[in-house]
Amino acid sequence: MSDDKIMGLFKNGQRDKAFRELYKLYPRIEKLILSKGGTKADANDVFQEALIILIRNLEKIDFKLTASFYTYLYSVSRFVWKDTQKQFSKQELQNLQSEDVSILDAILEEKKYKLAEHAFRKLGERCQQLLQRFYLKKMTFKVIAEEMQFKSEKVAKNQKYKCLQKAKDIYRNQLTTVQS
Amino acid sequence: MENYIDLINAYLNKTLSQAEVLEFEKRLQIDSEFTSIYKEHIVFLNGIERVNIIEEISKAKQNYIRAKWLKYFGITIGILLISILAYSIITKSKNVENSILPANNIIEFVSDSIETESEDKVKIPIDTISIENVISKPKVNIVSKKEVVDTILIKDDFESVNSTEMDIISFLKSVEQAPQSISINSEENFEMTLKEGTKISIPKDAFIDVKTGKSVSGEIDLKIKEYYKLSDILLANLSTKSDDRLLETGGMLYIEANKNGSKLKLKPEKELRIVFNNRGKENMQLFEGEKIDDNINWVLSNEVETNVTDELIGEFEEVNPVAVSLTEVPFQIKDIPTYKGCEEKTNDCTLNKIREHVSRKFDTDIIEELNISGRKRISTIIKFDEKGNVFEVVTSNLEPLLEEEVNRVLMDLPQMIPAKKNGKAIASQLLLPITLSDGIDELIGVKSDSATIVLNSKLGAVDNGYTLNSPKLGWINCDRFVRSKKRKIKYKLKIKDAEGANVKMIFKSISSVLPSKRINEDYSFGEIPLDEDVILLAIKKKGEKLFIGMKDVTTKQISGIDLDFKEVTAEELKNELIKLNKAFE
Repeated sequence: MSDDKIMGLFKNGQRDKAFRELYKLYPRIEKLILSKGGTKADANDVFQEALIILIRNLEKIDFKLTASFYTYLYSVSRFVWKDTQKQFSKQELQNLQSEDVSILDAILEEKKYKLAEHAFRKLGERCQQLLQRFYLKKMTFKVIAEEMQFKSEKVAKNQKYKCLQKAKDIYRNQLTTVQS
Repeated sequence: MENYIDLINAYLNKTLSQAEVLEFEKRLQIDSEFTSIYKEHIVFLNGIERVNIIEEISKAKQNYIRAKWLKYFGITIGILLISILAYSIITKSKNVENSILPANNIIEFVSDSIETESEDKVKIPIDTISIENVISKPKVNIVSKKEVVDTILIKDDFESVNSTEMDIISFLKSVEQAPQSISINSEENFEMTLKEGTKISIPKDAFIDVKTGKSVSGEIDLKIKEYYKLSDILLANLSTKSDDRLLETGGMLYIEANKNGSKLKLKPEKELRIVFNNRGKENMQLFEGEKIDDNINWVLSNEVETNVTDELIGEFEEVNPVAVSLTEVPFQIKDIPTYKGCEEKTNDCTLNKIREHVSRKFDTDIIEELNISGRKRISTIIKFDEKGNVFEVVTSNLEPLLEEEVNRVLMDLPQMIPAKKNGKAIASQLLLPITLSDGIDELIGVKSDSATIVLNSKLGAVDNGYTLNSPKLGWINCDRFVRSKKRKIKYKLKIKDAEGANVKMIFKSISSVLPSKRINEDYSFGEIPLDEDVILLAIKKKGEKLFIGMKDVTTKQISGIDLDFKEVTAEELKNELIKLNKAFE
């Protein structure tokens, strides 16, 4: 399938189909990671990361895919892998081209999000559901209270705030351990 | 703190009033604590979103893996079905061994499936070939000493397929044109114009002995045959085919060099320069011939690039095309075809846009499908007309699948602002190498490298015919692929009384001759465009008697034809063929 068609799928909201198409590129990315000394599991993680970065970029209004999906995913995967291996030399970082810089930026940004995700996953099931309902599904507290059987909107709202703070605490702790 | 979060949510959900938004944004600039809370919140939202995306991705992955297995599964079922079918057909035919009826049924079924298959193919009734008057009348313009030797037949290593057909071929050879024999001094540069207008330049010290590999000096003998006229082509049993594809010829040559009877060939770095006498034909390329079972197959000799540059040899003048490398930028931007939106930018802009277009549109599955490993560089020429529209794409020898994709992608380029010369819009060509990569060593799936723009101030006519450089002697053909968008059909038919005949198809609109292959009772021409006006020509020999049969037909599915063979003398046969020459003019 050509890139334009895949792009069309994204635009029509057929993300599942688009992702499935893009997964056809996986074997080649796997080859790359294996050739760089990674395992299949590594390749899987790297490709997933690359797809996430791609989809996030596609949702930005000012982002324009200048290369093919394959080229883009390949570059991102390569960088993700290098970053996890901490293989970037200073000189390399200085000589990056503007496109690469934006890829690297996206990767570093995404690393933070990943930490936040981990923090989120450490919350209890009920906290996770509550936050997802509020932030992703954009439900009102009224609906949330009904569905999750909170006594009132207010309770749901308080609960949401507590869950969020808890997650953020976990996140900050992780961040300090990562940085130290 | 909680208030902050509510405020941030409201801001992100765009439920704030304009004044509130302004205030919010101002606060982001001055209140660093607020800013860090805001940023952290964003990170967090993205983190939660990741959970969702990952779920989507893993679903897609499962679907992908399932689909992959289903495919294998499907193939296995397919194979199973086929074997079951085969088995039942075998058993059935055993049951009704002596009955003819079921056998007939099977045959009908097969031909049906062929028909439907061809119907599925693209039905764009546009023919891309500009049909021009093809060969200009040869000027007899013999510069150098030449003597026509009447007897010698060139010793091609023919291998017999069919003895009666061989009869015809050897007969044809006996009436074929005699070669033009020329002796030249190999120590000097040599240039001459042949009988029918072909110009050949041979550099000095160009030859070595085939057997000894040693350089030769002194007098050498050249034997050259020119094939522009249909009758000459037919008598030499030549056809214009490159593998399964139809070629349109702009003239063929046979060149042989000898020194004291031993065969010579060109030194590796030496080339013949040949100017074919074929004004008005565009996009011709050099093909080298190889004889297979008596039929000639033409193989594209050089990469497109070389041919085009050769085509462009000439002064830097108004009428002559000029090659411009985009990286050198000797031209003003308005002088080359320009991508819309690049008017005020550098030449790189247009090139980048085209690259972008190629990598965006190209279906990279093909790289995998064709098992391309490492890098593959392909040369393309994109031709723009005076309006800036792509009207033709030329590629070098590519796998059909790849060629189709390259054509599709490049034909899909948007209209350019046309190239200009002295303020006037002109046609132009862009030489665009494209690199395909399997992605192992390189980042890239499809890349288009540096490109060259070629400007034609006048489209179509190449003033002096085609200049092509040939690194080889032997069969040389100045051809182009016939890129017909007409529907194609498998064309085969029975011909009455054609036992042992040599059957050819002559295309009236293009200078093309197609040989036939005899398969059982049928003469098969492979896949050809539908609804073409052609002449079917058959020549056969029975004992000492010669017969010719021909008929004008339009190509469509027919089962049989009667060519009304009539007996002719050798001289009459020749005359009949000469009468056909007008089909090529």
